Amino acid sequence: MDSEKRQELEESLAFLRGRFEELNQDIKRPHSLDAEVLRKKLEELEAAPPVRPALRFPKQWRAAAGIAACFVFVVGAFLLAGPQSSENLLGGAAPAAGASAAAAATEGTAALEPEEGAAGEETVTVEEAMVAEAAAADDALPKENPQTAGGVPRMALYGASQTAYAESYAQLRDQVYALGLEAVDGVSPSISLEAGANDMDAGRIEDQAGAEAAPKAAAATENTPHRRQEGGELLQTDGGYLYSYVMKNTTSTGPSIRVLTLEGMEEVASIPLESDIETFYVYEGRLAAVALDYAGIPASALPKTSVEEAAPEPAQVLQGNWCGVGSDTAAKVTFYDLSDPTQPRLEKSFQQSGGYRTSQLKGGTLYLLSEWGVSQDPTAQGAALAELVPATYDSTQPAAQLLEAEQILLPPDAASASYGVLSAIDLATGQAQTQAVLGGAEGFCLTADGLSLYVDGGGWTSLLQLETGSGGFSLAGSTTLSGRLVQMGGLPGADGCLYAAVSSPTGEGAYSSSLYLMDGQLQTVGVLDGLLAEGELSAACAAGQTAALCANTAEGSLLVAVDLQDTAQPQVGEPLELPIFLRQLIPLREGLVLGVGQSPDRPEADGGLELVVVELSGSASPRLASRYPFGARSHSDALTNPSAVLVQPQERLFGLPVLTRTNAVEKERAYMLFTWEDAGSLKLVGSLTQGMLSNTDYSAPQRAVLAEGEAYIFAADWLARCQLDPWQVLELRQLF
Amino acid sequence: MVVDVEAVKRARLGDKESFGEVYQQIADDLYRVALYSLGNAHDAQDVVSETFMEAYKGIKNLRDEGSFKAWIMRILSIRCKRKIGQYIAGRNELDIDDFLDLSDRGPGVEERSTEKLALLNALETLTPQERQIVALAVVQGYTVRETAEILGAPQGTVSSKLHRTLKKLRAQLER
Repeated sequence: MDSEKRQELEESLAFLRGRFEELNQDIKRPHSLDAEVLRKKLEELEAAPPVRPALRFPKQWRAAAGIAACFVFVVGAFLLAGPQSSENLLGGAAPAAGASAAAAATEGTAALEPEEGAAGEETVTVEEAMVAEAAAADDALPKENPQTAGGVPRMALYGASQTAYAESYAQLRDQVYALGLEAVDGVSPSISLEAGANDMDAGRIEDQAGAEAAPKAAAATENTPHRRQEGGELLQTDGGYLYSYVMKNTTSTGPSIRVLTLEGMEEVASIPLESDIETFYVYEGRLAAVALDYAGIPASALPKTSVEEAAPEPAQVLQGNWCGVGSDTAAKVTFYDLSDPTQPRLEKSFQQSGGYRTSQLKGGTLYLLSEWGVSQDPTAQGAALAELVPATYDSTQPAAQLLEAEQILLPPDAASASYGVLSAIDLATGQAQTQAVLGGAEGFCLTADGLSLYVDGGGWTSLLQLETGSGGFSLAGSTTLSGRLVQMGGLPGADGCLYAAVSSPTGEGAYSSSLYLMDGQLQTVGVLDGLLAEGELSAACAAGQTAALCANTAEGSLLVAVDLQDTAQPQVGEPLELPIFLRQLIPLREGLVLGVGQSPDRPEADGGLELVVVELSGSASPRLASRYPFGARSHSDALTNPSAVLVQPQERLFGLPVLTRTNAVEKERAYMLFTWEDAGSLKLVGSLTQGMLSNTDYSAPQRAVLAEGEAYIFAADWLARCQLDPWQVLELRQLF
Repeated sequence: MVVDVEAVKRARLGDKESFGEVYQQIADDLYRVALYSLGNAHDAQDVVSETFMEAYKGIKNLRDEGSFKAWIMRILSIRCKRKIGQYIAGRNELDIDDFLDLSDRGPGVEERSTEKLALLNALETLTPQERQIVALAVVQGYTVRETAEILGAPQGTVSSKLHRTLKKLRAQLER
């Protein structure tokens, strides 16, 4: 964060703390939360006979019940750095070509110029790269690059142009130690560069450079668009059965996953769960439930090796106070065999250090990302290696495994003593390949040959590209983008090209919106800057070969379309002014996007929900095809969670949960399904309202899946089967 | 409130009384964060109670007694997040009665009430997620790094969100 923002933050904190102090004095904790009362409650629970939920197979049981299926998709992107020119990596700033591109944008054509450092550049040695980098450092570094914190380059040890795997636990210890120290007198601690202290494997660099000179032919067609998602999805189907997550609530005995037939919605099995889960996946006779495990990997399973034993080289003493913050949580995946969905069988579990962040399934591989902070000073006497290095634990094995040093990536811009821990887990066997990246990770985007991991630096975004193969992950490329990543994904049919929409502050409350195009190794193909004249970038997506970017202004939104059929000659249209504040952009089909936003008349959190459909027409200006307002103070989960919107392009259907109000008090929750015509006009197919179920909080319709031409809509305790054409609610079922 | 590390050590070994003791030391903080995040006492009580149970079950695996407070706050923030997820619609309303001490009759009570109401109205314009960040960073005084760890979010993201949220809040109050 730059100093101006930091000062603003400090002032706001000082202003508000005083106001809150007065209010806090009024807040009295109720007696029901006294330790004595809760202890008694706990003792009562412990004294009650244990309930051992068994798998149930109520073949004849029919009840009106709802099924809540938790479908949490957490997507993380992990990108690995490869050789880059020092300017690109340090600054990540748009090259001078970007400025000409921006100027050309208004003319409808922009010529993207390749950035320096593209494939084919001569190999440089580590020493040459570091000298060049040191010379360029002051000018090239963006304002908020952590390398300039306190004016001391933090990662000079590794050469800022390279992300590499750690060579030893000693190296890792030193890095973590430096990152976990609080600055003293405004100067961040650093590790001095000693001769030979970091003897980079020149062979490795040359190999990578060699690989860069002959970029891989990209598969192009299978890049999975990144969609930022929070919270859990609740329902899945494998075409034969429905799988629904029922969380523990006042009307259910959950948490559990219920298995029901599609035909007749008959419950055939119930899978009891130890705790609430984040999401689950069903794939070819396997079910994997993903949860945040507060207890973490059992301490008894962790190796007892000390840091001193694993890293005998003495640590360098630095000035500063250790202030690492960590937790003992773990991300846990529990596997079930669904060969016979009516008799699911618990098989095993897999845990990895860190709080669950995101996951995604591709083919039969589950990619799981968690984030783990180092809380203990690794240089302290008796420090345990298990406190320095993330671990994994397979329940079929006697002990947990600590990651090896060479499984841990050290990006030059790592800014915290934490790790992003990433596993690729074969759903069929439960076998996992795991790596970690120092500095943490926010998410990932699956690409044709692997995935891109991203780290939000609060003013820059670091991307790392990992290729996936039978041997696990391997580093393929990296880059740093100046600004905050809003959206990234693949461009179908564009030779593996990736796009990233980024927002950067330009001072005095103004922002610049940029679109980066990169190849599969994150070599930047080009950058378009200044795409939107005003407003902060709020949403972006790619609908086929066209990218749409949108910024909120004082009165509504500006949306611009970029035709990327020819990535060397993108066509930028005139922006479209929209009379709503757009929060999400979701592709419906090639060249058509759905916008979810709020009416500008009440721009606070309860502004009226509105949908728009926009046709992106390449070089011409986008066209507002239709608009659907839901009324004042209406709302939808979809405003903040794009995974709340179900899109079925082949059926031309989309659905979302909606809350509408007839007046200040009366409100109705419903799940609504829409279809769109060729020209983009919207038509309501039908809706299932909460009133059709019951009036508890757990009967608000939330999610849906389509199967066999019917819609299955569920709430936390209910499931409804609906015919689409004509719309008719066929069956309601409540699950206890 | 400072947590007694020795009591945490004993609680880790199964001492229920010590667990109750350390919980009591942090209970007000937990309730406050939950109330600001969720907006009503009923839900705040639910999540604090659930947090107590979860923490009791998991404390034996806590490896660093010194991080007990951050650890239990993390459990609370996750439970708050789950509860917010169950709301489905943008439930930004605050139950004002749960925040105000209506028995206050001292001098200047009108002015104080006006200021408090203004703050609560401003808080209502935030989403529950934004209020959660405010509760941790402003009310509880956690640093950005600590807030990020508690929320399980990247530091940069928390920093940006906090900056934007406080700007929004301040704009509402300075109108």
